[in-house]
Amino acid sequence: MGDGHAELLPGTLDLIVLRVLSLEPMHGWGIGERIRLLSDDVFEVNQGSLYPALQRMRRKGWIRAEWRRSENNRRARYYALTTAGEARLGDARDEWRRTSGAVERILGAVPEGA
Amino acid sequence: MGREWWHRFAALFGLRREEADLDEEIRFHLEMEAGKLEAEGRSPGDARREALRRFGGVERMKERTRDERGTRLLEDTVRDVLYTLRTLRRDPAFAVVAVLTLSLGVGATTAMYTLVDGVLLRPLPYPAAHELVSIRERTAEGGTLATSYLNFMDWRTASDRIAAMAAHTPTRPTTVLTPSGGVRARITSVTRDFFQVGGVEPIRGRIPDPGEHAEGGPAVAVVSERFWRSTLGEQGPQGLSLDIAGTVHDVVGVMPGGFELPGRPDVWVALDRAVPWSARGNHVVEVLGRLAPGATVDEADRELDAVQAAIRAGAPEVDSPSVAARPYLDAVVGDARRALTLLLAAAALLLLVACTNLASTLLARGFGRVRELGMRASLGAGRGRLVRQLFLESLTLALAGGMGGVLTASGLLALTRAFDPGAVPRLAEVSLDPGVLGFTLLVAVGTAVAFGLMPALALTRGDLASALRSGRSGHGRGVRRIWRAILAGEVALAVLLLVAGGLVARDLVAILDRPGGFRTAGVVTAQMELPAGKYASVAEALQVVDGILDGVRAGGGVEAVGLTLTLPVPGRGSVAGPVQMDDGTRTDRSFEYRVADAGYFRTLEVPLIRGRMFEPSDGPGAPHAALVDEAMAEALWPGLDPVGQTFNPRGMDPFPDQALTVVGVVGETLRWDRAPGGSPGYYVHYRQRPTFLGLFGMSVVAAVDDTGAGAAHLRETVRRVDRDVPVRLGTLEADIAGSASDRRFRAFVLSGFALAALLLACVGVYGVVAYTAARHTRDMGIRLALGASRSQVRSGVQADVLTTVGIGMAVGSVLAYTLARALERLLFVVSPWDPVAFSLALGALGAAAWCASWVPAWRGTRLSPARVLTEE
Repeated sequence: MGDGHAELLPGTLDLIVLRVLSLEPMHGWGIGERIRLLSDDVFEVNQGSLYPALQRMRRKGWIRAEWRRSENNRRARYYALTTAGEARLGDARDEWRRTSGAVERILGAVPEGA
Repeated sequence: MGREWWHRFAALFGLRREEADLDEEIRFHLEMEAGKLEAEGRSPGDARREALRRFGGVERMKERTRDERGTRLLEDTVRDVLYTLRTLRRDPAFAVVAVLTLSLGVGATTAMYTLVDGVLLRPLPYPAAHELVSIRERTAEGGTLATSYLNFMDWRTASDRIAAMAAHTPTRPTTVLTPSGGVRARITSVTRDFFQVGGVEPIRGRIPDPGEHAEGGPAVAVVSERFWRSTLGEQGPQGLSLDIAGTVHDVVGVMPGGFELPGRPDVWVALDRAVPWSARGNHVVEVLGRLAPGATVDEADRELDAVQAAIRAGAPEVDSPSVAARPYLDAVVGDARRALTLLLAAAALLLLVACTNLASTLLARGFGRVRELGMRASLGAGRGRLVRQLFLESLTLALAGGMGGVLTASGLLALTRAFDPGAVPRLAEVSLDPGVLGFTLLVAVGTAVAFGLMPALALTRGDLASALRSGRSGHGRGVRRIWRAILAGEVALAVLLLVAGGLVARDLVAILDRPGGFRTAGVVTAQMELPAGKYASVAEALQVVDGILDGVRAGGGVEAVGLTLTLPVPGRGSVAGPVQMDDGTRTDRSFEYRVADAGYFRTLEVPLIRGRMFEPSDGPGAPHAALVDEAMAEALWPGLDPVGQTFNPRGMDPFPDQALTVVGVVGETLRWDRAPGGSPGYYVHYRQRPTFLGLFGMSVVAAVDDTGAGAAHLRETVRRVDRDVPVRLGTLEADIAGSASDRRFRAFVLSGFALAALLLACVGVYGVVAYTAARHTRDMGIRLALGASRSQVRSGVQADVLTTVGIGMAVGSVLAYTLARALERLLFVVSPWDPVAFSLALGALGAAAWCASWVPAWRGTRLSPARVLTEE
């Protein structure tokens, strides 16, 4: 953690996974790699927690899974966003922006009388 | 095996696919990660290890993914069921014992409940059967009597509460001449309105019309469906006729199978056409009535009491002061109610024994698995999960036991039907039905809930982790107390059943062994009814009888032959009534009226005590001779010489003008259902008072050697003399044993239950000791190592459980002693507090418990101390 990596904030994994999948359908390992790359190596997804999250999002109907050939011609389970997932992504993004903006404002606030 | 099952099961729910997909997905992930690491320059092995490390716990991740599927409960249940099956498979002895135990308890209870339900609770197959009442006369002593025909006529006229009343004679066997020859048929005479009271329509033809009931009207008969199909070949019924007692009866109707009185008659004829009784003292008919709308049985009873009182005021010879009306179902079921209720109670006791046994077995097993449970708890299984697991295990056992119980019950019912005790009326109507099946399942599942959950809760209440550390339950003392209580309870219940079984069985043995005052060994009997219509005169019929007696006497292997009206066998309807003394008064007591010849006494070896035997000179022209038995001599002429005394059995036979002169005194013949002196009686000679014609059947008795030729000869002879006389052959021993068949049935069932309870108690004791021995292996090892002898250690283990058994036996004895009164009316000879039965029960149980505790204790001490101590 001291090496420049950061844990994902609780509740943000869903948002990030949905965002990654909105770019293109991807398998579990690829999702983890994509998150690492897109965050400039800041986020290291705990690989073991990715699959339960994917399972949960499948159950909620945000993503669907199908088996396909991967780039290296192996069978892999690809996840893709559903319409409900797109809507969820929009909501979650708004929510995040509201929250992170509020957090930012608090952090940037100058003490009165300073 | 377990894995294969898991897959098979999971596939049902689509879970197998999910699992495979997850596996493949993870494999793919790890390969990709390893590939990336290899590309970064790591060796393949190193890359793979690092990939796994980064993934962080494949199994934990799988578990969490499964959690997210939302099918967790279902999966867990399936997993638990499989786990249950696997653990049960691992310990088949436990599973088999538990299931058999329950099958036995549930089966016995279900069979008994089915019998009780079918016989006692289900209404009779008559319309509005609850309106039907049986009415009898009540004696001053409180007993009941068959009704006098004349009293019945008065009741019928006077009663408002009873809308319709009818009477019938007891069913009696007789020979009926059909177009195809003579057959034995059971016949009853009924008054007008009889069929209307029953409310059942004939399936063919019609019931007799009023003209056919009128005195001197045309003779008609109605036959049962069974008789019509089997004997009459389903002909007619129009144009069919039967010769009954010399009168040709036209068959007018066929009654359906359900319409059967106690006694299952084949033929109904009209009683009012020719009423043979003129005295109010002749108690000969059974009365049934249908209540008026809105009337109750109690109202009818009170009203008839008043009617009877009024009749008595006008006719002082009426001997019973009141009337007993009761629901007809009660009359049909009769004594069977008490016996069946008792058997049901016994079955319920057996079920309780089975359940306590299951509970203690589950407890023992649960303790044996403390380590396993502690392990599972520390691996993260919650308390709820463990309770559910244990509960599921007992539920599985209970369901298996329930199914086994249904099988056992059908087996027992089939057995009962094959046994056909005759003691169970309406047995043919009884079958397992869905309601009873529901009852069974309720019992089985209730057992699982009550007794499966208790050990589960007791086991998981404590700190399982500490149990794991110490290798034993952290709260052993409390649970052991529960366990002791369960075992003591089981033993107490077993004592109850053993005492009951022992009492009834001993009573049966005593009945069959009880001296009757006559010879039974080697006596063959032939019961027959001479068809009166065949013979032009009494003399001609007597010739036939003499022909039979002479023919039998001439046969090889026949030592003696005689004739009687009724055999000294319970249930073979005896005829009794008061007799008239010389001064014209009638006796208060009834005396049995018996017809015989001198050969009867020789054959049965009934001793002549005073005076002389019947002699050839006692013919139709001579004064009518009588032999009285000791009980009658004592009752009528105490301290006097009975020989030469005279009396008149007026009303008992059609010879009212012929008094009887006592020529001798003979020994009393006892029936097992009567106390000595309880059935005093007298014998008249068949040639002087030939009452057997038409009215009653007769029996030829012959003492034969054991070649078997005598019996065959008897049948041959009767056939040769008159082919229209059907004969029922038997032996006196079998007849008497058969008369106790309902008792035998009860003894059979109760001792079966008792043995089952004994067995179950042994299993319970064995389980407890085996468990204790296993638990204390270490202590035993130490004691052995310290120099205690094996037998000392063994008795130490045994003593603990045998003390508990002793307490159970003490409690059971007190209970049995208190409850024995319930058996009083079912026992004839043996007292319900019979010390022999109690000692036998306690002795058997004590010995069995000792053996059951010795075996596992012995096994426990056989281990080498060194091995035990190093193993721990």
